[in-house]
Amino acid sequence: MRNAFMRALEELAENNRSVFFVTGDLGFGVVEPFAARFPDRFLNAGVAEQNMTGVATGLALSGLTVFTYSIANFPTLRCLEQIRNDVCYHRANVKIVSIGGGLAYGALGYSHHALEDLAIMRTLPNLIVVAPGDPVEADLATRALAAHDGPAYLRLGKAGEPICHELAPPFELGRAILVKDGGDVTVISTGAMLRTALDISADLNTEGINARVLSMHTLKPIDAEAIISAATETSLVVTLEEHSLTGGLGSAVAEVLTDACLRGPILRLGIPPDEATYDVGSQHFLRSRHGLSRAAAGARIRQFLADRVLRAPAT
Amino acid sequence: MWEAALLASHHGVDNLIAIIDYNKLQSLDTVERTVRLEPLGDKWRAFGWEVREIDGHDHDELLKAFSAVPRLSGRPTCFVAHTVKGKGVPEMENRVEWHYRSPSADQIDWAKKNWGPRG
Repeated sequence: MRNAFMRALEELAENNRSVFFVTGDLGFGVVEPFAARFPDRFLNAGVAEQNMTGVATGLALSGLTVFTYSIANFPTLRCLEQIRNDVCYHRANVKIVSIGGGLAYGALGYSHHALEDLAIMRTLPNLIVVAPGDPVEADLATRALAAHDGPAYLRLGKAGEPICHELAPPFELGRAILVKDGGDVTVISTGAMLRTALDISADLNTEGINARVLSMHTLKPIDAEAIISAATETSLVVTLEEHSLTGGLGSAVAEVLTDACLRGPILRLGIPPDEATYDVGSQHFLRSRHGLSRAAAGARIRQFLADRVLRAPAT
Repeated sequence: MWEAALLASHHGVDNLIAIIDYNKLQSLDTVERTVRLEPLGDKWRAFGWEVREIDGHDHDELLKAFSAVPRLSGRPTCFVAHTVKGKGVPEMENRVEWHYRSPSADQIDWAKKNWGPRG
């Protein structure tokens, strides 16, 4: 996703002289081509995210389209007040980009796991929150956000995420992508869990369970219509995210269903906040550990279906 | 960090030691070419710290320096320990890429053979 983002950004910068890039001293081996091609629109602010965000706001208020860039929690939580008071309050045209959302930097430990960013960014005013599902969506999201005049948070994976869309899907901020249709259950994923959602859907299909898969690339504003359709047309809504169970996709979906007075069963798969802290290892290892692998998440869905949906008393 | 530096000297915390592993590299480029820190010792002095610049690779000098703290009663001490990232293997010294890379078993063997202690 990192490479898809940088490629899109270079193209945008080529055609739009207002595109400006500020890094918090990260992006080794990735940002150099941009810096070489557009030296007057590249700034390394150093390891100083609060100042980076303040400077980005100033640049945006003088007419530029500014992308700030760092990894994991650094561009969001370290400078939360600057995002809140500088960027969001002023509706400044700043796009906050984080590489390595979720557990992508798993081996670097909890300091480098981004597990609360979606929840916290989702509460901020005027901020669009986007977590693309694969490199194709990352490319489309980058272009859509550049065209949007206002603050946004773009949570990306790292490198090597599988491509889930053979053809570029229709992409609109705030509108979920129906990646696979199905009438029995719906799996809604955000960010790089899309591949797992599709794999689970394929597994369920072999057992005669037809799963719909939605890529909820935009968490705010969220696509309430797609969620309500899923809850009324299929018998279970599953949310799948590499994020805390508090405040992320699962919470957002539950909010929509509650506001619509819908009581359909919902299974939220993510990371319980108190279990997030101490494990260190590869992204693959950590996903398995938290029950988010294809096999573990699939088993939890089957179990939930057996216990709570198929055997549930009629209401 | 500068907030902590202010608070410590304000309260005269003279049993506090800051050791700066000053290797002059950031994660994309040198410190000098990114956000300059020099004169680093003077900055700490201006914040009210007792400062000494030492060779971060010289164990004898480090031991001697750490044994003589506080250097000034009522002041925290800052050691600016000058270091070289990748010290001892010229092919790795001062190269940003080795912030990210881990040497393979072969590279470790090779480095030991070429640059390790003799005999």
